[in-house]
Amino acid sequence: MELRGFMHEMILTELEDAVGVENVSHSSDQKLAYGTDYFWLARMTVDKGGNPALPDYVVRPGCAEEVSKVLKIANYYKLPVQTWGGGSGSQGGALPMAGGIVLDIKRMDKLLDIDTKAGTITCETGMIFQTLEWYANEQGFSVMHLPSCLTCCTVGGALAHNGIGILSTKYGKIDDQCLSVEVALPNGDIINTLPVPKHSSGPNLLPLFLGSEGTLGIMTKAKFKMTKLPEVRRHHAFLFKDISTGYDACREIVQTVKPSIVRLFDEAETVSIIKKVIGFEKRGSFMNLTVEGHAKIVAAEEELILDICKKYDAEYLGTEYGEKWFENRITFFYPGYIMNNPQMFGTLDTVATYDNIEKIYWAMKKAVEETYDGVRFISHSSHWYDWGCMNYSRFIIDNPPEDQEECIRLHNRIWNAGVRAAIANGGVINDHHGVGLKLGRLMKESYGPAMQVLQGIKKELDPNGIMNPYKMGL
Amino acid sequence: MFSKDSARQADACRFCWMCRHICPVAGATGSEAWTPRARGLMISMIERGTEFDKDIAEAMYHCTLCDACANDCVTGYKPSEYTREARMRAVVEDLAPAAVIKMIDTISECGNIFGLSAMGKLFEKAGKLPEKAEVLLFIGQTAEAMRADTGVHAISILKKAGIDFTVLADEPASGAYLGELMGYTGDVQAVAAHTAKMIADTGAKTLVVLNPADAAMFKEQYGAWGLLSGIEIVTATAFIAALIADGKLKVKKAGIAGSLQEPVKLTRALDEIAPFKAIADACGIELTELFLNGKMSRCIGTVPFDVYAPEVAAQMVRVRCEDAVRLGSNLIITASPDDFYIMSKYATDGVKIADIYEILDGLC
Ligand SMILES: Cc1cc2nc3c(=O)[nH]c(=O)nc-3n(C[C@H](O)[C@H](O)[C@H](O)COP(=O)(O)OP(=O)(O)OC[C@H]3O[C@@H](n4cnc5c(N)ncnc54)[C@H](O)[C@@H]3O)c2cc1C
Ligand code: SF4
Ligand code: SF4
Repeated sequence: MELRGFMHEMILTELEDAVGVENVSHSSDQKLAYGTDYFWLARMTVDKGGNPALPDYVVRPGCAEEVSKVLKIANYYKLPVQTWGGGSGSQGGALPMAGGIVLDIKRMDKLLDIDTKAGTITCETGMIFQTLEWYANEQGFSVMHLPSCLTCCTVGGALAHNGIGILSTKYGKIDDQCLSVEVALPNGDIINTLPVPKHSSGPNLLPLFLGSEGTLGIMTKAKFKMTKLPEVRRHHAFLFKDISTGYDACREIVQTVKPSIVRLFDEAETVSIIKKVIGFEKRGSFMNLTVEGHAKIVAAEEELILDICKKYDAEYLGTEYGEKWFENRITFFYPGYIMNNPQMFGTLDTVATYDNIEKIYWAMKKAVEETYDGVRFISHSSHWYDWGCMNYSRFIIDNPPEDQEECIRLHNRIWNAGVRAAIANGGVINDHHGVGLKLGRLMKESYGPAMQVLQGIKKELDPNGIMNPYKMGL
Repeated sequence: MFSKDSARQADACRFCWMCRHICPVAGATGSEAWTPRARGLMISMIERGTEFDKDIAEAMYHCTLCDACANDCVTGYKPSEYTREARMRAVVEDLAPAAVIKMIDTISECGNIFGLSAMGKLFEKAGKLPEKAEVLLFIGQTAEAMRADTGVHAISILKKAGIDFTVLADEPASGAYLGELMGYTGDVQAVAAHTAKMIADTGAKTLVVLNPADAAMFKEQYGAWGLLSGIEIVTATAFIAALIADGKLKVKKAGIAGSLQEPVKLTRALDEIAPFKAIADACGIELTELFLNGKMSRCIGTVPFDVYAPEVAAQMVRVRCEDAVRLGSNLIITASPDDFYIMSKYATDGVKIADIYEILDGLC
């Protein structure tokens, strides 16, 4: 939207009135900081010296009431509002593609309550997730949400696209850990979901907002359950002859016991990233696994796991590599260890039932490899349920085209091919990184006529379409 | 153009989010532009044609150069290096904030960032000291101007231990604050060379440094410039901890509980964690341990930072006080005149800021 005359200043002063002069900015440093999140296309743009999409206003509210005021102003002027947590999302979800307001939530980082008897912890959603975990740890508890972005994502960002942590196989996804949220709706009303996440008191509102990526409202507070820190946490590693055997063995393990971590790597990832970070040298399908909780139960679980792996002819690698993986679990994400520009890359994570997951692995690999000659495809499965698991597959192109437009075309073609292979074989667009700007165009294909349900809700809650335009296909 | 090394480091950090949780400025303000990765991004964009303007320069000054980010990182990259270089450029290109320029001028004119000296008051309280001695105690600008008591107690402790020492009556600046404000330029090197000469002229064999910021400057940067060679540089905490260990100071137990504000220049720049704890232990202080201690200790600002961003320093102190109170402590004990000076200004109600030198002096 073009603002004429001194309209820009009129809106600026109104925003300043809502959140304080020092918390509204349009200076070049503040705006540039929001020009790129973890999305490869945004990174490529600045890497090539291009112009990123910048906001007109950076607004940093300090409480839910201020968020509400900003939303009312934005609605009146029909200004886009892009909520920004840590900006560590990989789908371009927080990018201010439509200009307008970037609403940075990180000033809202208060710990509101910690109840060791009930085992709950409540905070504002701008808190960095690591901080929340530290608060729980101080009392001998954990939220048990330990994603690799623990140190960089906010609580709100993790909730906004329904994230997942490394301990998920035992403790679940964030929607298993979150009990309730407070939300500022697009019209500025502040609502709460019901106090508990399981009930028969009408359709559950909580899952509607978890994964809504800032398109339906802004989550301002959240309550989580906590779990006592485990008495023991023990790591193991195995080598399977191939990923197919690995899938069968891991399925049987998680249908028998409850490990916290199960990570099965295809051979391509075993001989590349696993070798580089933890120094494991053999070919095959590497798997590391962690069991934790009460010592007696853990011992019994370990015995069953060893039996199952034996049945599938796995080589037991002892505890060393599992421990090394755990120690280095975030090393994988630092510059020099993870792919970086100018390489083109993306994480095509999806989730499916056990009858489909291996089909998806092969179909996606074929689709990606057929789209471009110089592409590498690596994959692992790291979040397991008793009904299915996810695939965390990556494509990597070491020498992508120089031309920016060519890059965008190739990038989107690969994504289309990979995600369509997943959808065609019983998978979904994404497991835990969300949809964002990157994959919005595929939502209708995935949902089919069910998309009208989401569109109806969007229209009702956000009739002016101010909340995170171009994202999630809404 | 930034140096090759800064450009390379900024290029790595610009797309990396891993250390933002540990950055005290980003944490206290929630500002995205004041994260290590945002500064890396801005520098990498400047290298690709974006104009380096006053706003970007302002962001370069919203960093305490505490190196929490680098300490937490597995790669060896150090955002403080490119940030310091950006400041050098900002000063040269006349983009630095007015408050920064004013501080540089004040240090250049008066030798002290506060523009005043209370050395007279310090000597009045400390009594007469010899002109030359084996040991030279370097007081630093904050103790000189704003926190004479830390200096007085440190002097008293050394006297009680029977140390043959002195203090420079017209003590010059180490250049630590100047280096923070404008990078390690030729001007800063000239200041350092002058100071090194004054120290050498005393004939001291050991330089005991009260302010951790000065100690880091002497140990790291003077060494790189070939200054002070042949003189042993020891932090006051390490020197006093050794006196206690050697039985030269007999210390009674205080019977108090508190949490230590471990100076980041000690814990990270100098990798010196044990001495402050050893002194606290000798004083019988029961420690309330935080998550962010030792190598991860939380920075509450520096003296120059407090001058150009007082509201941010105040917020960092509030965050630090909250940590202490949440874990059941309302006493925070400092080992740096800078920390004492800044924390005393902004401590939240009910939280007391104490000085380890004052506590120890009262017990021995
Ligand atoms: C190194 C690295 C490792 C990662 N590892 C994992 C992992 O292990 N597991 C995992 O699940 N993800 C992982 N991710 C991706 C993950 O999606 C993001 O890191 C994180 O969840 C995003 O949080 P953020 O606070 O940075 O959100 P942002 O990137 O700022 O925003 C993401 C989306 O959420 C919306 N949003 C943010 N806050 C709110 C709010 N309060 N209310 C409503 N909407 C909001 C934004 O508008 C945007 O659409 C990783 C990312 C990185 C960079
Ligand atoms: S210092 Fe390390 S962790 Fe921080 S941004 Fe740079 S590379 Fe990432
Ligand atoms: S040096 Fe300290 S203040 Fe500066 S970016 Fe790193 S952690 Fe933040």
